[in-house]
Amino acid sequence: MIKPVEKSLNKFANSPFVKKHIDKCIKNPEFLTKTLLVTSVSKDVFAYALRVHNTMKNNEIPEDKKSFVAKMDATTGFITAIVQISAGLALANKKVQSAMCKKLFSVLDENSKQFKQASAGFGAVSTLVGATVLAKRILVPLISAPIAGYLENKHINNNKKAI
Amino acid sequence: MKINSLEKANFKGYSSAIKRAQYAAADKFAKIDKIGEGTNIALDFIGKAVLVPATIMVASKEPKEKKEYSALKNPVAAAFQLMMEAPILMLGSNFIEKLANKGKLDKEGSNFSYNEKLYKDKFVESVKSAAKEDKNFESISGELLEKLDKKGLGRNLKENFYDAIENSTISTKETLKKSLKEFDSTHKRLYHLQNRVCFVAAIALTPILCKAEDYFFPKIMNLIKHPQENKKPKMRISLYHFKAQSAKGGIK
Repeated sequence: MIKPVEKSLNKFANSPFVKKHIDKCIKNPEFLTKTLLVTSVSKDVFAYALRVHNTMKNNEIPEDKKSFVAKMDATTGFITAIVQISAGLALANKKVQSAMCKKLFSVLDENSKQFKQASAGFGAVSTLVGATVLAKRILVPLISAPIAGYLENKHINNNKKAI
Repeated sequence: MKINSLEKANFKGYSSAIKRAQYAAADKFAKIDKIGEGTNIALDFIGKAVLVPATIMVASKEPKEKKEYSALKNPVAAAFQLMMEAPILMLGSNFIEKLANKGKLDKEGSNFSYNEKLYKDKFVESVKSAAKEDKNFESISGELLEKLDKKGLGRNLKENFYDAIENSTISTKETLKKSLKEFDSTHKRLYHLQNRVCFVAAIALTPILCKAEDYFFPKIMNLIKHPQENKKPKMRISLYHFKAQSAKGGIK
């Protein structure tokens, strides 16, 4: 059992793409932050896509409600991905980071090693906290709740018209 | 490297408090070394378990009952996610580390190694043999090697090793620096590989997580929302009934 796992891991670890990716993660903190942002978003997108798929395959949900439930999940997933990526990229932007770090660490010399290290750490933390905590967990519920309400009302009205 | 030790004594009053806070913040951020899937998992958990319920309760205009249900749903889902992703990351990382340290993840003839133990052993050997030349370096490097054994290689420890090598009188300074750089690169390569493999594993196990959520979630919510209904009713029995049952051989 372990041998095939070992072989696949060895192949994965030594593939040119992974080697190049790991090298870039080590040399470029900004790239590492963006990678973590993408991994976080892709987990969400995959989970939402799976929910949509499961809803469409679920025979216990009535046909008229199926597409509504799937649409709601797809909309929430889409909003989550867009808001998170936009907030993350905006925060990871060099100009934004540079302006924030200059203010936050104004006591340090901008060309010093300490300033660069502190800026790299702040860049990663602020981007991830901003995108995965503030944008995804505060902005998304605030945006998606009215949209969900609107879609629900539309669904109810359509059903009434059909009757 | 301690940034906030600079000119600390000259700061007085309100503006000095801000400056001290800035130095302390810079010091903390400069120490951040390992940001990976663990950070993502922790942030995701905090957001889902704390922030989403708070946002729903404060901002949602839904009826209270519906609001409470939505707010409670998130910490339960966050706990499920944490129970699934944290073990994957810990066990997966350990498994990959063991393979890497046996050289099973290295390709023959390639310089791109994940074998951290090999490079650590080489570096420790070089430090120990160089320490024979300089008494002061021997005592400093001894302390640093102890820290390395206990905590592993971090940014602070790496800086301290570089400083100790630079300030010593040993003849193999460049060799030691090169050895430390190789060890550090291998350490980072292994760390990023562990993160990426665990991410792929977490994605692959998402269908199971969704199934588990679908199965357990209604049951847990039912327990939280209606705890009384789920308790077994207490047996009430009259003295007459008790005597009658005892005569038949006792209450079963």
